[in-house]
Amino acid sequence: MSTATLISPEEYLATRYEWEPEYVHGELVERPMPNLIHSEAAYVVDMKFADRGLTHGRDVRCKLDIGVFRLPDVAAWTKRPTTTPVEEVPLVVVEILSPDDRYADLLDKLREYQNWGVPHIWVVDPMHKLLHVFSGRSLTEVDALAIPERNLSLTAADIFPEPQP
Amino acid sequence: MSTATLLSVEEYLATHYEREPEYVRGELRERPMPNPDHGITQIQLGHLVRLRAPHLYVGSEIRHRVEPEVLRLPDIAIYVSRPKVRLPTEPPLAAIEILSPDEKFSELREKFAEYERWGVKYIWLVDPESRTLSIYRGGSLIATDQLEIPEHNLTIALGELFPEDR
Repeated sequence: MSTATLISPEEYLATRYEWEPEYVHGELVERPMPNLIHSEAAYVVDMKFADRGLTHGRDVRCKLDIGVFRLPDVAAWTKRPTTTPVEEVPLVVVEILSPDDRYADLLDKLREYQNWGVPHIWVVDPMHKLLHVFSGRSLTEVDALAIPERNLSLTAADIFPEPQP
Repeated sequence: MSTATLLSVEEYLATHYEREPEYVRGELRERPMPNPDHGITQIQLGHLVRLRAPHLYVGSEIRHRVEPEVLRLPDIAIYVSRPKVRLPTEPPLAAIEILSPDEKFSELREKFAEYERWGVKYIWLVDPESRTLSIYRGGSLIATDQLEIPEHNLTIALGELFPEDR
């Protein structure tokens, strides 16, 4: 990574990519191509946010800091953001894991969301049908992802429904 | 992975590897090559355990039979008594993994879940790059400032594990 040619944020923002990478301090960070279970999980979570009246979106480009751009798999805001890329801190971001995700990279990203001030940081593992919450530097497995003040709760059964025969 | 040719345990055990992989139900799992941070942290942790709790045994990269078809090599294992067999099947008191930049989250999680099912009481993750410590329990990785085995009066603080460069 350290040997990569650095590019400027302006260059990153002006380039059209087939599959938009993220950008961290001059380096492009590739995102894995989503597979079916990844995509289905993102859809269910996104629809739940819609249902609770939140402004929501998948792969929305966010500017977390000078030189840090991320595209959360799903994010939701209580108030509609007005900036592009979005600079308003979301109420919740959701990362949906892919088999190739490296733990160190995942932690970097979760810490960035935390430093940005995101109150709810969720990690969904579709391979193992597991849910995690990241807070205070800990990744905790939970039975349900919840935002009580929004009367919102998602269990593994909600996110990974059994296929209909 | 699912298309890989499956290997028997006997075949795996009989093969000589440059860098011993782990074995999970017929598949070899490569272990990342350790970088200097990884190697230094590994020795530092082993050294502190020996210093603080000389009655315990500490080993690095000892092959264990975690399940009949699962063989793992924890970066560090801590034992109350010295393993008597070449391929221990009894869980150590503690199993510690030192994070490499290339380690995949899903594989690490799988390994920790196996250690827990096996009966390892203390499962720790040490990340030299971000200088953080986590304790694994029931699917969660809980950040901590010190590693503790209270029944053996063993405490290792974060700052001792990653001393400032001299």
